[in-house]
Amino acid sequence: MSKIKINIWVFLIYFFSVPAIYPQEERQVSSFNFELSIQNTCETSGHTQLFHKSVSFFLKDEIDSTYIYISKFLLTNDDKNLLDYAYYLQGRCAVKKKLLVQGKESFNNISDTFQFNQLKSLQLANIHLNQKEYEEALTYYKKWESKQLVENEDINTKEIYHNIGLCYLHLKNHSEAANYLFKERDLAKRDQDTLSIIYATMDIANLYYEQYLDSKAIPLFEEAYILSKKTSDIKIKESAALNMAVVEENQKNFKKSIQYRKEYEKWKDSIWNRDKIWELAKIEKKFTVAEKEKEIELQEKQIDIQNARQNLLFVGIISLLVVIGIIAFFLRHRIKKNKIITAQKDELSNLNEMKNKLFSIVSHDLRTPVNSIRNNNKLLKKALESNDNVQLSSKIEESIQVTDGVHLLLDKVLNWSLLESGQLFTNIEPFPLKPIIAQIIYNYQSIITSKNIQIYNNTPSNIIVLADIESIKVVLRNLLDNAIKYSKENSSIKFEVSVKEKGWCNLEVIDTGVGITEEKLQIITSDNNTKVDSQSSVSGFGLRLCKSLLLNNGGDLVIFSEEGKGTNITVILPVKKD
Amino acid sequence: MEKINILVLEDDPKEALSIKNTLIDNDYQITAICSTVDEAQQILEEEQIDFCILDIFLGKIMGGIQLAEKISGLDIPFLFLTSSKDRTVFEKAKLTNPFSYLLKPFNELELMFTLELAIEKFFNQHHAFSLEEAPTVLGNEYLFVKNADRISKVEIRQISSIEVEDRYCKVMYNQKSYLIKMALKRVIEILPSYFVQTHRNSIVNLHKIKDIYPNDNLIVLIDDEKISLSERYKYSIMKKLNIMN
Repeated sequence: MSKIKINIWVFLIYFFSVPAIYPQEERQVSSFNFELSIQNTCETSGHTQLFHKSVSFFLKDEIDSTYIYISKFLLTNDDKNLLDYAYYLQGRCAVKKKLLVQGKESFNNISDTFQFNQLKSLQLANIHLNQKEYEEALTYYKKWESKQLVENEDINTKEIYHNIGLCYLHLKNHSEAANYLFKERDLAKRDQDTLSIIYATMDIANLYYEQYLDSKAIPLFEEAYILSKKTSDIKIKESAALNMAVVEENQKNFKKSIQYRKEYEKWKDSIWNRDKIWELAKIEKKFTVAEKEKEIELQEKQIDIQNARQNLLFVGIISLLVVIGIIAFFLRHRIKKNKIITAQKDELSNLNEMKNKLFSIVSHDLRTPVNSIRNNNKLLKKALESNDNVQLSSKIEESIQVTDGVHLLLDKVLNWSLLESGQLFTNIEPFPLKPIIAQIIYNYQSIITSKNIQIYNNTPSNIIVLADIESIKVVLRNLLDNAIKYSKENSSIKFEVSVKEKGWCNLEVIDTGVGITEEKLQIITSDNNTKVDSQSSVSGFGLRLCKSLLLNNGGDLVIFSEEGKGTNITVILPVKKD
Repeated sequence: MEKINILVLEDDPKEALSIKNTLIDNDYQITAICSTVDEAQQILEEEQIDFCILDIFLGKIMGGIQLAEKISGLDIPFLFLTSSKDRTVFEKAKLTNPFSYLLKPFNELELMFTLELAIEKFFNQHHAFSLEEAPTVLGNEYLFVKNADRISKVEIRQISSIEVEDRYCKVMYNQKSYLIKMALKRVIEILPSYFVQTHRNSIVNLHKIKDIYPNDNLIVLIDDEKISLSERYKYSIMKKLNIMN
């Protein structure tokens, strides 16, 4: 039982290898003439493009493209000569795509007059063989064989003989099978193809051995074995040794059998060793890969450490920069502070200078009235002694006026100093303007009467302004004082109030006095608030104070003056909104 | 019409005399001139005072502010006098709300004006005295009336009725009438509870009612003045009258 099993196993290897090998070999061998012929056909006939394309694709072994173009060509053309070629090409393509039924159909469409009819037979034979239709295959092989001797020499006859042998084997025609296998072996011998010889020899031996023709089989096995020693193919050495081992075992020559077995095992081992080495190599490779990976890991770790170091360095640099920045900031701050201090110092020295000037002006302006009061007092004493009542009353009136002037001056100085030091109390609230103006006028009633000046308070009683009453009183007092001082006798002074814009009113103090020279006006209205020219009089100082007070109250002061015609001073004040 | 009683807190006799003369010239009644806070408090307890003029500095003590703090609950308006313009002093004085002040030296007009201003501010009726048609301020017990630049007071108890007239409220008192520029609704709020609404446009002093003719929707007052009574207020007036009787 075991004998048969082994044989079939050995045989099958070869059997299955045939269909796999044959298309390639067949193409190499059989196509040579065919290719020349088909190329010639193309050139001579100069036929359609589809055919040309399909032929060129076929020669480049591009099966799919060939199949598409040839099918298209077949649909549109019916040139008899070309048709045969086209069907042949279609068949070949189908076979290559393993579409055996379609291939058979295509080949069958080829007419009998086709030049390469034996190729067609061969193809059909191969198809039948593949479909296990051995008898049909044989008929086609025979057709091929009948012409083969005459026409073709370079087709792989060995292969075909092998296939024929195969057919006979399957049809249990052992003698014929042996006949063709021998033919194959002869051809192999002719070609000095040792491998083929060994395979063919073993095939024949197996064939005989299956028929229990041991006497014929054994020498052949031995021959194969001997030949196998000459080759380097381990696989074949193994097969030959195994065959011998089986043969000796069946003959009960166990010693020999064991020897062959050992040999077989050796070859098997060598194959196994080869595999083992491969495996080892693989493991080694794996190992080295692992090693490499470890190395990479290590490197990565090193890179990480490096990165960490770099980060540390980066943080260090940044913190250093921050520190530098902070230092720079403080330095700058200090410089700025110094600048501010310098500016403040300048301002202070300016103020101080101004204060000194003011003191000189004030003391000068104080000396005169105080002197006049002193003189007046002396005159009063005299008048009292001489009982001169007229003189007495006029001198008293004079004294009152002078002291009023001094009071106003002191008031101005006090307000100025409070304003400059930020100590001035301003209580901004709504109040009616008209009574305030009346109150200011009231204080000047005597001098107004003596100068015979007409005063008009044309303020509507519904004007309610938003300001600090005392500041406004100081302003109005100064303005009225100036107006009276510079007005001629019998002239008039007017207080006119108008609401120009929403939320604002203009209070105009209009006199027809001497007016202010342009030069003086410029000094008074110059932007530099703190600058007091030693030449400027106290009245200029008064206007300046008025403007500062009004600005402090959210208002403003505007002066219009024409020398010799009079002055119009406009006080702008916010009014209460309803 | 009565004169307004004033208390002056002033330690400088010359200044006090000047203030006194000015006030008397303007028809005010000087109840007392005090030079200390204690003295002033004594007077305030004993007398009916309508107004206080307070000098901030009594010597070096801020007596005026002290007194102002003490009288803030007495419903008496006041004004400060000071010769100082020092900011810190003002900031302290300003805490006694409402706050009016006058700087020394001042003239007659300034004193009168500031006094009026102080009353207006105290009863929260700003600039009422500068109104030409209705220069009146309605207090809790008195109606202050400005007439020919003089301020006098009218006892609210003696008011018989108040009626809306145009944009004003007409106050009837001893056959005379005064105008207040105020909404009737606010007048009711200020007046004591024995003043009740009889009509959309009128208020009546319950003590001054002589007769009621509910069927005629009419009220006749003691001075024979006739006030109309609307259905809406009839019930509440009858009820209040019943309680009183």
